[in-house]
Amino acid sequence: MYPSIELFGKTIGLYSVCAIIGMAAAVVFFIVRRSGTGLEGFDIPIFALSVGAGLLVGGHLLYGITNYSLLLRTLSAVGRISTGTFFSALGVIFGGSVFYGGMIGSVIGMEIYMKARKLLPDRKSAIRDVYACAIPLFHAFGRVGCFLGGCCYGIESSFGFIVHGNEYSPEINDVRRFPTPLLESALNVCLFIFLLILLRRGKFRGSLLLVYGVTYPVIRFFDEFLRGDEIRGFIWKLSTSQWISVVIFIISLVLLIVKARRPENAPEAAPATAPETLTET
Amino acid sequence: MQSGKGMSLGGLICGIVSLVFAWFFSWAGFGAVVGLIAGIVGVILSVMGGKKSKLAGEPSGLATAGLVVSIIGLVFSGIFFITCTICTGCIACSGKGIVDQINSELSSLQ
Repeated sequence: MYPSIELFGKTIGLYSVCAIIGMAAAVVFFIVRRSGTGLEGFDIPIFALSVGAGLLVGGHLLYGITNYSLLLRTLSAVGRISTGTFFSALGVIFGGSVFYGGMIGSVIGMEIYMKARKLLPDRKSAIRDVYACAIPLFHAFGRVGCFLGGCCYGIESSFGFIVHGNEYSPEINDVRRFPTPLLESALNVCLFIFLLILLRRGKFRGSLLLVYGVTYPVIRFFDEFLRGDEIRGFIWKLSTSQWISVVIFIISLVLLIVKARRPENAPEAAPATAPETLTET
Repeated sequence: MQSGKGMSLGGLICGIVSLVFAWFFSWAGFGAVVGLIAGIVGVILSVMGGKKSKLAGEPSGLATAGLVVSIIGLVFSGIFFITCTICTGCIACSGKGIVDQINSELSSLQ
C-alpha cells in the first residue's frame, strides 16, 4: 500500500510509525486506567521501558528461532566465514520481529519490573489487568502498519485490494488479496473493547491476561488460514504462530480454571493508598 | 537530602543528544542506535532525578523537561531504527540477494 512516506527529506516507514502510535496509545491507556496499579508519575516511563525492552528482545528472538536452520548453519560455520557475512546473517536471522515473541517478552519485562519493585500482589494483578487491555490496543495499530507496509498479507481472493510496485514485498504486487491485517486489526479492537468492559465491571479481576490468552489465540489461529505470506514458517501444515496459539490457549485455559477453583486466592480490590504501602516490606 | 538536579540535567542532555542523533545522523546507520541508547539513559536519569527532587522538596521541572525530550528522542530513534518498513521485513528490506549470498557461502564450506 504505502510502505513509506517522505517527510523533510527523510524516508519514514509507516509500519514503524503505526507501531509507535500503538505503543503511545497503550501507554496513554495505561496512564488513564492506572488507578489501583500503584504506578504514578515517574514510575510509568520505567515501566514502559521494561515492557518495551521485553517487546523488542522477545519479538526479534522468536523471529530468529523461526529462522533456526540458517541460524544453526551460521553458528556451525563460525570461524570459517567472514565477519561481514556472519553479521549479515545475524541481521537477516534476527532482523524481523514477530508478535507472539514480542508479547511474551513484554510480559516477562513487566514481571521483572514488578519483581524488582517488590509490588504487593493486588497491585501486580491490577497492572496485569490493565496491561491485558493495552496489548490488543497496540496490536490493532501494528496490524494497520502491516497493511500499509505490505507484510503479513492475505491470501488471493476476489475480495480485497491489489497493490502495485511494493519494493519491500514484491510478491504482494498485482494480485488481489484479502485484507487479513485489517481484519485482525478490527478483531483486536473488538477484543480491546471486550477486555475493557470486563475491566470496568471488575470481572475476572487479576485474570484478564489469561482471558486475553484464551481469546486472542483463537482469533490468530483462524486468521492464519487467511494469510498468504510464506515467511512465517510452517510445521505440519500449521504455521508457527498457530502452534504457539495452541500452546498459549491451553496454558491460559488451565491457569484460568485453576485460579477459578481457588477463590481464596482472588485478589481484593486495590484500595487507594499512600505510596509507602505499595511495596512489600 | 541529595538534590536530583544533576541527574535531571544529565537526563535533559541525553534527551537532546538522542534527538540530535536520531534526526541528523540516522542516515549513517549508527545515529538511530546512539539515539536509542541516549534516549533510554535520558529517561532513566530524568526519572531518578525527578524522584530525588520530589523527595528533597525541590521543583522537578528540569526532570520533566528531560523526560519529555528523551521520550521524543526515543520515538524518533525508534522510527529511524526500524529502517525496515515491515515487521517481518529485514529479508525483504535487504533484498533476497543477501540471503542467497549467505547460503552460497555456507554451502561452499560443506
